[in-house]
Amino acid sequence: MQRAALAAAAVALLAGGGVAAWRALHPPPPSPAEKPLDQRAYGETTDKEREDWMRKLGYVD
Amino acid sequence: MGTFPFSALVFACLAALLGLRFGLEAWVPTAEAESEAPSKEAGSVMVVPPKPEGLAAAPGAGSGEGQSTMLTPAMCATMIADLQDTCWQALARQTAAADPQEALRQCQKISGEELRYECRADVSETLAPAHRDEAVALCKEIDSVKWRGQCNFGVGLALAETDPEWAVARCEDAEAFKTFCRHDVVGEISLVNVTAAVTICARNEGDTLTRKTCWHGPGKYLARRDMGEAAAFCRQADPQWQGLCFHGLGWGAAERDPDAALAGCAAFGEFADNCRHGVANELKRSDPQRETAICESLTNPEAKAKCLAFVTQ
Repeated sequence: MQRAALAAAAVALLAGGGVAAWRALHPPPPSPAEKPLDQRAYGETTDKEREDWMRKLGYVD
Repeated sequence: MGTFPFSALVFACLAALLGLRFGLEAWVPTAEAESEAPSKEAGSVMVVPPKPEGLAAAPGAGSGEGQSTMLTPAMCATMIADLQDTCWQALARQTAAADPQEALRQCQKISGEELRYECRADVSETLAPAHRDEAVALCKEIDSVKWRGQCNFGVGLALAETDPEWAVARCEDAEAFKTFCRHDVVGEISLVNVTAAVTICARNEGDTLTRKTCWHGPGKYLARRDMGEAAAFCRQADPQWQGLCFHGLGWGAAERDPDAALAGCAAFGEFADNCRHGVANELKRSDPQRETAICESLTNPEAKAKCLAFVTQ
């Protein structure tokens, strides 16, 4: 019984390690919010982001 | 084999996997760094501003006639490496109106990816006054969201004087620059056709930001030419956004002469503070001390708070 539990733990560790190793080698692409504003489509920007951006450049008060 | 050795095997597996996981993380930092870096930039300021207003045309821009030097492919090919990309871009602009396909081929010779996209956007913009549909088609072919947006922005600006409605419609495809585009395109329209600019803004299209900056643009553009003209426009604005229009007016007038702008603001009664606020904001880069002093002098508490907040941004 104890041996079976340990064997299951070893398998789980191997699987978890494999996933972690895969993620380390293949990081997910940045989400839209992580891209610079000017490289996003309009729908990927928020009202606040656009307004702050425009304020900095003198397009709004 | 007893329980102890098997447990040791499990712990050895655990140690090896943990080592592998963190070892790989340390070994491949570049991939993660690349995905994290932009978030810092996006969260703070902005990375590349929209097309600067009043930027002088590049050699050969517009008509394709050129103001000083007519470039040739041979000149670009023999130029020192640091200047070659800029040369191909200028040559492409020079060629665009007469032979857009050749201009695009010149863009392809640019080694820098960003400049190559910008070059294609320039070709579209130059082509737009005479061949608008072809220009829009070229914009669509740009596979960078940023430069596709800039391309449509530029094409809109190119048609602002001759076909206001079509020009403003281009802004719908300007991506992240959509509101900047409407601001500037309607601003350009106002310089030749105030009625058209009022008509477009009075339709109150789009979200709140789009609606209010629509009035800001002509206020700024007209004030660069004449404060009185700009004030007449702002008086026609939606009452909700009149103050914002006068802010644009103050900003535009201060670009020419901050002293004259401040003196002129005094004549605008309830909108004098909005106007002075615009003057102060425009001085941020050139004279921050004066910017602060003007902000402190504002009597409207809301304008004063916004103005001072901008000082420290």
